[in-house]
Amino acid sequence: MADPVSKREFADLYAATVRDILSYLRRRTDRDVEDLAGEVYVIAWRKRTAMPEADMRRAWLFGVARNLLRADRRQRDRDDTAIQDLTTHPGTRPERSAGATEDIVAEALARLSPDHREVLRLTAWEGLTPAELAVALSVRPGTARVRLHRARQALAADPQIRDLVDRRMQVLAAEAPD
Amino acid sequence: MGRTLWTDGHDRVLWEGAPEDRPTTTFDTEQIWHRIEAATVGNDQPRRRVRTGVGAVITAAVLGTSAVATAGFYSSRTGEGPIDAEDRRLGGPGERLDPAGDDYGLVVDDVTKDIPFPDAASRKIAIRNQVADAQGPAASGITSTGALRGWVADAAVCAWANQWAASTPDGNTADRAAAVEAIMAAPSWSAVFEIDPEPSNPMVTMDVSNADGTTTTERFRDPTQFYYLSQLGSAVQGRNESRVAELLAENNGYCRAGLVPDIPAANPFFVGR
Repeated sequence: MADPVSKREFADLYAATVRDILSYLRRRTDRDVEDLAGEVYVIAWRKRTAMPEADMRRAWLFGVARNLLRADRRQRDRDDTAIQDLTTHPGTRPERSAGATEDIVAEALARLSPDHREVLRLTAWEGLTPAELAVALSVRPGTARVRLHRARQALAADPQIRDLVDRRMQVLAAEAPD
Repeated sequence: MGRTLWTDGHDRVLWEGAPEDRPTTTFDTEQIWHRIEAATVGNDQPRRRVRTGVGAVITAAVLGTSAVATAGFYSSRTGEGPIDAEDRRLGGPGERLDPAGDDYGLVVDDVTKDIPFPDAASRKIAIRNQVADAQGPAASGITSTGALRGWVADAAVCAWANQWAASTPDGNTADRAAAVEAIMAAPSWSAVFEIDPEPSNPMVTMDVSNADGTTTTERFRDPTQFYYLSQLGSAVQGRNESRVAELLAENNGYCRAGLVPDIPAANPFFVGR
């Protein structure tokens, strides 16, 4: 059976990861993310005998946060409150000019399947490696890599993303020294 | 429509497309920490699911009692197998186990006893990892003895590969020979053979739906779970440690840090790759 994580180790884990967990939650819900983050760590503390080895704990916490958000969404659906896809950004986004990168990316992500969307955001926004992605999603590393590959292909095939990348490459080429 | 390659440009625009986030202050993190402390007061010890004492746990595990065996004790053993061929294909052969059971660690230990490890310590690590995985936050619930045995066999291969890596540069021919022999024999372990009797690496065709509504037909390799063992068996007969590590990191998934201290790159989480 796993040795429980000590209080000292848990406090260190909290200090090292809480900012990342808060960012993850803010990008996915308009709820009180401080409350949700607190719940993530309370659950983590209660499950500390099941916690994986040190190098996998950050990814494991993303898995806890992801499950908590899903449970929260199910509860909200049941309560018939405003249903907001976990994958959509909360309504606090500031006004920006049409065609801003964030809008184009958000729209393109919204056209993907929820699974593809989450895989891309966990790797690109939260910085998870494919191996960490496997822990967060509770799948084998090979499965995580295949899912990431397919999600990337789906996003790269989006016409608006193609245009955006082409324009960005043209700008970079023009700025490059001869 | 042809395949669109993923480039650094895609990584860049996806990163730049992340919603803006406000900085987290020390006040924020301290407030959350206070909430956590308040919620966990009196919960310094991990919650114990076992309520009837060790004797009862061991008895139930030995007897293979299903469901609620004695007052307050819940066994991982369900006594049920796959309901049809599809269930067997997806979930693996053998009895269905519930990782939420009080005796899950004992059951994992019991049903994997025949899988050879180089030593008791590595076996203990593998069992502990299985229990942690199955009871983790994203665990998917019921598992099968067949699937479980396959994962533990993967871990055993990691442990033997570690012995190979430790003994090869040391000139410890006996340990190296034992490791090579074990890895070569792994395809015939019953835990492996039960779920992958004919390892292969077929080319398969799949239709992929694109974002613009078109469909692309793609062809790719789809190796069976233990196909990599034949490549690993060839690799350990040489001395190319990086090749052995690469095969394990790509195909195994259970070479956790504690199992492969002498060949750390076999761990898919190894940072220095």
